[in-house]
Amino acid sequence: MTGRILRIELRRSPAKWLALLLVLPVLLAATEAGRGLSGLALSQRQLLQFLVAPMALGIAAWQARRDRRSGMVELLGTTVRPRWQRVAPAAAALAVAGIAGMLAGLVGMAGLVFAAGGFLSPAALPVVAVSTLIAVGHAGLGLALGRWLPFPLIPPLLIGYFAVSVIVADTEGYADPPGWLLLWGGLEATMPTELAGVATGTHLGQAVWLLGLTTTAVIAFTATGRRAGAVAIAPVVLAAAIAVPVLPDRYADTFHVDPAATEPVCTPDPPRVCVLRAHQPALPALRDPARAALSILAANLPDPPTAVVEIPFLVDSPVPPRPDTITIPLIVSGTGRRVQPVSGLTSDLRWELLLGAGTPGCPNAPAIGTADRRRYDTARLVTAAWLLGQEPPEPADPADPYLLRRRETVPVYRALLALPPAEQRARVAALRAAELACDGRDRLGLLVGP
Amino acid sequence: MTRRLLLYLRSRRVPAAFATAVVAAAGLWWVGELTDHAEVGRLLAVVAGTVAAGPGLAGPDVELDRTAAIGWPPRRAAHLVAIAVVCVVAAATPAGAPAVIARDAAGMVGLLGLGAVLLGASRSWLPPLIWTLVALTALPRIWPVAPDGAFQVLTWMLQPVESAAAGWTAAVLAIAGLLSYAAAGPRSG
Amino acid sequence: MVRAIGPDETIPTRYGYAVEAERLTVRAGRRLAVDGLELALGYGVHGLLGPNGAGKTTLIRALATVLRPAGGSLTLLGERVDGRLDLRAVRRRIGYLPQEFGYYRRFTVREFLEYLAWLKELPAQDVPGAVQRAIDRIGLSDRADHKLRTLSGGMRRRVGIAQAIVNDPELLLLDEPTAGLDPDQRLQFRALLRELAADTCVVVATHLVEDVAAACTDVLLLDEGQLVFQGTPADLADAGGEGEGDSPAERGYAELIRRHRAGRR
Repeated sequence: MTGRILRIELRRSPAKWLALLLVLPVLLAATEAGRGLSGLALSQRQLLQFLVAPMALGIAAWQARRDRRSGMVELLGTTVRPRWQRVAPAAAALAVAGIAGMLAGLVGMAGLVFAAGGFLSPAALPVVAVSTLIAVGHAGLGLALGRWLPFPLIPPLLIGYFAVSVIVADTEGYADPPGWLLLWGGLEATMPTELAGVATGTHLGQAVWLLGLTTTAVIAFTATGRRAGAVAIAPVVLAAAIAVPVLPDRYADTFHVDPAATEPVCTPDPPRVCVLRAHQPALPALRDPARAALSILAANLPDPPTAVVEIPFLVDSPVPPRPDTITIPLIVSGTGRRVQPVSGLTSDLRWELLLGAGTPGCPNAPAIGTADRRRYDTARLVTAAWLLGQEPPEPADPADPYLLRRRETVPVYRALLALPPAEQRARVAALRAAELACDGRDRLGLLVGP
Repeated sequence: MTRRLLLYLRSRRVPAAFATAVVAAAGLWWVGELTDHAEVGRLLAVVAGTVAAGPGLAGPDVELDRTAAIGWPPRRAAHLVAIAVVCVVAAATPAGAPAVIARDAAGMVGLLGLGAVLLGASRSWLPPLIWTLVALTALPRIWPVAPDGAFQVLTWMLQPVESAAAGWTAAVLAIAGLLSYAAAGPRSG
Repeated sequence: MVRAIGPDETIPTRYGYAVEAERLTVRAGRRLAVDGLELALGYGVHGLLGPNGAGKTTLIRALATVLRPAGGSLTLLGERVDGRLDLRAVRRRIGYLPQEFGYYRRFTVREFLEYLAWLKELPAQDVPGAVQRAIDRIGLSDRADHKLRTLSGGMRRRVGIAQAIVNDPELLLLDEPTAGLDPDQRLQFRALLRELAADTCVVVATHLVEDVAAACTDVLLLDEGQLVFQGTPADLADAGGEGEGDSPAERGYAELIRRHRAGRR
């Protein structure tokens, strides 16, 4: 019989709108499907926490006041079942709708990723599980608030919650965000989302906190007296006490590079061109420019590299160069199929691969924005120009002061060409050796100096 | 005249809404200043004032109001304008950027009026709140290209005062809301 | 459709009167709406008449266990209800229709009645039958699967009556049950009351003196929280003189109230 009542509630209450609302982030994030399931899951989490959760709270608060709105309070007071049994079907309908909506969203996301050929990362599953807890927890919180607060206070409350979300919990406002901000439920990745793995402690901490919040909300919603409402505080306090130590101390410690996402996926035949697992739809886009670059280097260098391997684009942990392989970080588009270089010096992949004669740049290079850095970048760009036999082009955005202009690069190029051919090859090889060794010598001087 | 005005304000529960708006505006301004997000704090203060005033756009019995002998359009228009003025004062008093606040208040109150005409006074606060919510959270995340005209229109409340697209959007919303609410009044039910 | 009768229903009742009240006092707000009432009601239809503010609704609410008595004793269906906290057993056997009947707008008639039957802890296998029977008795069989918000006021009132009888209560409390019903529906309602009189104690609070005169076996007249008159409708008509009123019952009513108020001064 309770099952029948639950079905009635699912049909007639706003639970179905909650389920629909939960599928919304999937649709909004669909343009990112090529970047893999974990990226979608993290985007869904952000949209859920900051956009959908306040709405779920509002819907649940509206549902909680149904008896009062319908004028049924007196009649319901004369029935037999105690309050918690009476309100259980409506609350359960919200929970079922929440879980069903998230499951549908997960299936939808997996389908979109599969269709785009992206990486179905298992790291996404705990993210979606905790996201489900967020959805259900906010519905529960809405029920409790709707029960105890008069309805005119609910919209200002939503604004207040929303304000705290956007103002306080927004990690971009902090230089070094503390770990307890994770209690708010968001996961703002500090690295490209498709490569990000989330620490287990974060999942556990958020899950414990949300379970405590949901328990408190359920007790507050089903309580019949104010004293029972006071007891309701206990679970959430306990959950906070357990969760905060479990969460990482610093927000940034939440994210590490996911090893499954950064496994290389390579072409079956030589020369080897590899991309990261998370970027596997982009392999065709990299393969042809990579092989062209390798053959150019083989024609011009005594000891050329024989493979091209993508490395994760991490600002904080640069990878030392390797003599036998061109290592290159990449930015991949939302569909997964288009690739962009990251250096900012060029928009063409072949040019990017040939910068500095197939080197990724040194960690001890001069800081960006300094004059020394411009000399460094000019040397690398001119090397690529020499290898391709073309003058360095004008930058894509002429208004950007940080990009190299032709009036800086073309004279260097011409100066290099003015040298005897054997000397040109020697200079390029010397620049490549310096880049591989990452000593501090002035590259421009090496290339065209005396 | 004053007595009638007081009765009107009480029938629309304006004192409670006013108190909520002031408290919310002060709280949001304070939080915004404290965390260096002053513009967002002020915007949310305006939205809070608008939302609190929403249910007061209709009396307890909309049908009964409609049968009254007095001319409603100028009074309804005055009600909306008064809401906008209160929002501007509440959000701007602690100093800073009155032009942006005036634009945001005008646009939000216009949306409120449209909400009252289309959804009824008790739900009139949904359009301003939801538009702001979506603009602040989802749109910057999913917009595929660099901010252009369409983006500025959709996130008009977040744009700086120089943005012409945002200014025009706010003006259109304000005028549409004012005229439709003054002419048609809130939807019943 | 015939309903199967469980063994506990064939046990003879262990109480004399369905409702017994001694010096019952009930507050409505700060006022003493019911003041020292003495009542003994058995099976039959008892009409509750009285001016506004006489305490009719307060008495009905006290009998429905919505309000707790402030003083005196109240025994419903053989169980004392004025002191105890656990009223669940008694509530299973009571049906109540409030004066302001609220409903879930989006539910259909059938769903609403099933929901209330579930709330009254009717056994699961009995619910569909009981709901159908209640729907048939109030004459809404063709509208059973329409949403409540599509029904007229009178039909919703009948749904309210249906939810009160869905659990076949031994004590049925109806506050203004004929509000919004057209004359034909009122006749059908009176027939329903007469049918129920045999095995149920029905208390009907109403302003419509004609309904009381036609359908009730017993009339209770309340004024200012006190019982002014208890007797058959014929006795009520006999009490009337030449005063105002368009029917014998109304004249009797007016006369009794006048006498009571004169006596109090």
